[in-house]
Amino acid sequence: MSIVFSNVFHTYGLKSPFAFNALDDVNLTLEEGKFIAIVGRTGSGKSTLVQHMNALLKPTQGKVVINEWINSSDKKERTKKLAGLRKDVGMVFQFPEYQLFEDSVIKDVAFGPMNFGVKEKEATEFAKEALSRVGLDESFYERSPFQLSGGEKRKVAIAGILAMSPKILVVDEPTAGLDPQASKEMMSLFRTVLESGTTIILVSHDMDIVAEYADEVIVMESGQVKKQCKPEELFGIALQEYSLDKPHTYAFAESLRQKGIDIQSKSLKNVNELALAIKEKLNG
Amino acid sequence: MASFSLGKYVPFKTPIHKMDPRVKVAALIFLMVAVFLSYGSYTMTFTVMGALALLILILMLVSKTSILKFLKSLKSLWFMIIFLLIIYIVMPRTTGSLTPAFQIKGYQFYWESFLDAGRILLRLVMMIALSMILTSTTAPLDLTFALEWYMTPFKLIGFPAHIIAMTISLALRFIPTILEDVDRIMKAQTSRGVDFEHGGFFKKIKAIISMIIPLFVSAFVRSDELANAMECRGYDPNGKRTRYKKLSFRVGDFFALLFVACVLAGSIYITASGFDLYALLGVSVL
Repeated sequence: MSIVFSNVFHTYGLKSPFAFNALDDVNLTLEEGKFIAIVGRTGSGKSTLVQHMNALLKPTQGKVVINEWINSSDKKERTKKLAGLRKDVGMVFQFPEYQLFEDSVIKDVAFGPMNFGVKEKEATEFAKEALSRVGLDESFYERSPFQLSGGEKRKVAIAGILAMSPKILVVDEPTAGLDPQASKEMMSLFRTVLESGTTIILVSHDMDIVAEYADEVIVMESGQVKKQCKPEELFGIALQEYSLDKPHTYAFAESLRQKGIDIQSKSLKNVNELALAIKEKLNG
Repeated sequence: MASFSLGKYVPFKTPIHKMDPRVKVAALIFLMVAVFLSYGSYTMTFTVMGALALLILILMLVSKTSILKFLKSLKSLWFMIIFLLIIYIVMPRTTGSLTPAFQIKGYQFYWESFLDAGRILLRLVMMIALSMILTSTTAPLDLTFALEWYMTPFKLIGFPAHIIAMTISLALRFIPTILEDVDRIMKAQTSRGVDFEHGGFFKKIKAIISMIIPLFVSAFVRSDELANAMECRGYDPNGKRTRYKKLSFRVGDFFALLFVACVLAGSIYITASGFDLYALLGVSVL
């Protein structure tokens, strides 16, 4: 499943004094099977961009093609039935714990698949599988989602999307407000989801996570795509122009360079790679 | 939630936007009374109401109130309007003389019923237009300040005007926030395959439940947080509060008030004296 944006504009408050271009002529191709990160400061249009991927928002101009589905500003061109698209492109919103409503965890997770026509029995199976993927065992099945801790709620909400077995998973700031351990678990979950063949599209402010997990980065600024490249390429160049932070590993290497130790490594995904690069430098 | 556009504040800089909100509230009440008075004969009634409608139209144009939005808000009231019209036409009034118009299957219709229906329709439309002018030219907070100012005299008898005003302004403040919540939750549930637009009765109920419960949860969390935040910043419901924005009564406001007072006085005079322009001119229309 690839996603192609062609000349997409999205204007909020069209024809009013509040009119504002959240997307400004976006052209973008997202390939399948990749872990793609979307970065940019608050208000740069990241969330608006991802909401076009499952047609929650419609472009005010231009079109988005997601495999056989067309989300276009032109009503005639737009695919009529979008339910299938919503199943194939799972969307996990920021603070997804606020979308829980059923009286038990298992019912809430099975809610998604059942909406797409899966029978209750089968949906419960999907739900159990999804819950085990996010690391919640049987003891959680019958509990009320409102009794859980914040992190557990979020896991339930994400399981609710995974149970729909989407082909593309869009996650908006999944680690916001989680402790470091929980965010690590969350990210390794997304890695296993990626390995099972699902494309991951991640919106994040955390450059460490982007450096470590993403295959490709898209930089957004005032509604425009400023750059689409590999993370090492982005973090190698001056990031200030996009007002983004450097990941800690790159910042550390930069600091070493200023002190006269030049590490010859292109990719510094995580502390491990950084240590390896330093070792290489020391040894020879 | 794009349909919630009725009377939303639009920050233009027209003379009406700049008016003192207290004067605007008074003007609204004065003009509403004028709209709801009855003016004797039908010709006179429709003449005066036509004049008032013209005045309201001018006000709408001056205040840049969107006529399109106004028509849209009327569209959402079509059911009530049709209901009213049917009641008025099918059930003629029992007082005064009635002129038979036509019969359908032996049921007698009267011209007066249609005229009454037209009058009530005009009143309703003008009332909506007036309140829309007020809300689209006055920021909600200014409006609550004005209401609080009008409630001040009641403080003497122990009426908690400032607490009521704070509650109203908080409620107004949270309307957009809650609408944002609704939007966010609807999108999240739509992503999970909920269809808010189509589907049968039970599907719709389920869809609405999937929105209402998270909405309540987040509203309660929010109100709890808000109460704590207010408490932390030393909010005391009985304390004396100062204002960041002082309401000021300017010369323009005086003339505006004088003008609407004249309109009201004129219409009360016409009602009370039974003044009939057409009788005076010796013309009879109806």
